[in-house]
Amino acid sequence: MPYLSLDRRQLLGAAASLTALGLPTRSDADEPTAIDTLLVNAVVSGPLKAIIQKEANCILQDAPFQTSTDVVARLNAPGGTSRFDLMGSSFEFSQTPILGVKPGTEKVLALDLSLIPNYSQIVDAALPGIGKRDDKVYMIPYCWGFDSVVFNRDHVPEDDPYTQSWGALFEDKYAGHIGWYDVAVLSMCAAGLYLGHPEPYKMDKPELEEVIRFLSLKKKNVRAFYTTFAQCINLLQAGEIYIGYGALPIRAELKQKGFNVGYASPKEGVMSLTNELYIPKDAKNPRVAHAVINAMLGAEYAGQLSKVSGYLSTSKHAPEMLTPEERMTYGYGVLEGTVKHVGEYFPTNINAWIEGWARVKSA
Amino acid sequence: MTPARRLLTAYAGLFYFFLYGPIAFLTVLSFNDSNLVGLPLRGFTFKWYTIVTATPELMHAIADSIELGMATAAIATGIALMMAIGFRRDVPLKSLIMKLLLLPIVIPGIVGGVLLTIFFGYFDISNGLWTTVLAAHITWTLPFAFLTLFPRLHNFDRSLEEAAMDLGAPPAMVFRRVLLPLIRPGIISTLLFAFTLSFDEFIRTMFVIGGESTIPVYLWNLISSQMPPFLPAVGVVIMSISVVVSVLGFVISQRFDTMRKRA
Repeated sequence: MPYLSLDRRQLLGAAASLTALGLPTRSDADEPTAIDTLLVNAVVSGPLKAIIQKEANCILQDAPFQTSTDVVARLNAPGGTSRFDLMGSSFEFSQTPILGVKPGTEKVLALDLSLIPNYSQIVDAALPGIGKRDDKVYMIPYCWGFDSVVFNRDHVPEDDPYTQSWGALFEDKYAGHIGWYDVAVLSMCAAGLYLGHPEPYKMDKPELEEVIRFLSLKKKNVRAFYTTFAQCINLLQAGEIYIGYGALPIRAELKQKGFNVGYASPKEGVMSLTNELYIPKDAKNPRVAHAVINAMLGAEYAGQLSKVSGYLSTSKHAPEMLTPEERMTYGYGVLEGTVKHVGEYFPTNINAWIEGWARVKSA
Repeated sequence: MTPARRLLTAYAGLFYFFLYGPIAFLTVLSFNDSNLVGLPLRGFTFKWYTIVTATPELMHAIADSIELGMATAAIATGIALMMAIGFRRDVPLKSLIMKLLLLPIVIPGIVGGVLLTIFFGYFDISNGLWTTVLAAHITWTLPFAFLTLFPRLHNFDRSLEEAAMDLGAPPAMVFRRVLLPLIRPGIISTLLFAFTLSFDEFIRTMFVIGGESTIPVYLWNLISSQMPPFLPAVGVVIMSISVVVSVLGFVISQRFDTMRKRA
């Protein structure tokens, strides 16, 4: 019977080969790193999450997002600068509490732009949204959103003059089929725009009173108030309302459900906001967080963002990845300068606004 | 039937309607073949349950909630049992300590959430299911576990323990052979009660959770962003788990009571 003969060298070689087979094919450095984020959930869901994870070689652990106010509060709470690796909120509201009043009080890291090659791809229109201090960049705009009038095209014709204005939300034509967003600043800004105040967040007391009186008068036309996008979607789908105050994710969700949704471009201007990314100053994985920012400004992400979430990418890659028709449908005119828009800013006399909105609701 | 009785019957009918009507309605909606959460009813379907079971994130959230509930129940009941045994004796500041123990019940959930966020922040404890969320759930369920167990131990006839000790049983054996068998139904019902409290907890969890999701948090995310048509089915699944646990507690408790009566 033949037998296998092995000398010492062959035996060692075989052992080494077997050991090599058992070793992982990638080094530890190639293993995806888990990072904790607090971002608008819609922008890191489904295929968008997969794109980021692949490009940044990470595992994204995204906490439930509530509002930009909540994000900023969490960052400023004790331990808030080390709890997450990457956070996101709207620029207009967040800039001051995040950067602090003077140099050195920043709650976030100065970004290393060499780790974000796609930084150069930010569109010109979004450049004012970069959070800078002393030539250092702290906050990067990655997407735009805007609010407008959302409507059911089965009941409201696309060419109805009312849909060309914020007036659709207030006037009597669709009385009993209108939904208002139960957020004081946004709903009162919409009314302010309709009443001819081009910068509604700057309204003084008499102008604010005028808006409150107008809204109190028009409240009779309202079928429902809603506090979440999902409620608006359900009210439109159920036929309870035909018209409502709507953000981009509402339209995206309704489109995905096959609903005959229309989205107006009011002549007074849509209300726009920029969403920012920033890395808390004590983040545990800043390098991976930079890679995630880069991925979120990359071509593949930019091409999918509007399709999945409704938001507009601030990357120059987006127009390359979308057809002109898609760009028009998603509302890229806001970024390209063909659709009038007004920034969503925080009014200085916010207490008066909230008190006024309470009066409207109890009218 | 007298008018008073008729009135009482109507009142009882309305009471049960408002108590169980929403649950029944949710169950009906979970089988509604419509892409809308609500009326009209468009037919009967099981597809929303199929979607629920085929959604990995959802099943993962359910599994996380169950595991977390079990761990919370075990730890909170263990601590509550030790405290209930300890409080049978007079200890310094007993009244004050008991009041402090019950504090999480009277603190509003949102305030509790903020306090926990600040507390974990100061100690630089990362948000996570098995760190911050577990601690938050234990602090929330502990007073309830204590309130369930303490009366059973307080009313316990201590002469039984004394008799065992007179016969030479060491304290550990007295606990294992005398005390534990007699209070076992109470421990089991406390475990199950603590589990359901943890399983349903939302407000405090929302403040301290990281990238994972418990089922109430997952549900909240769905409700606030999409309102998907399988939402009622998720609600029914969650409700079913709570009901099964409660029924299980009731059955076990009954069985122990029957065994004790027979003995």
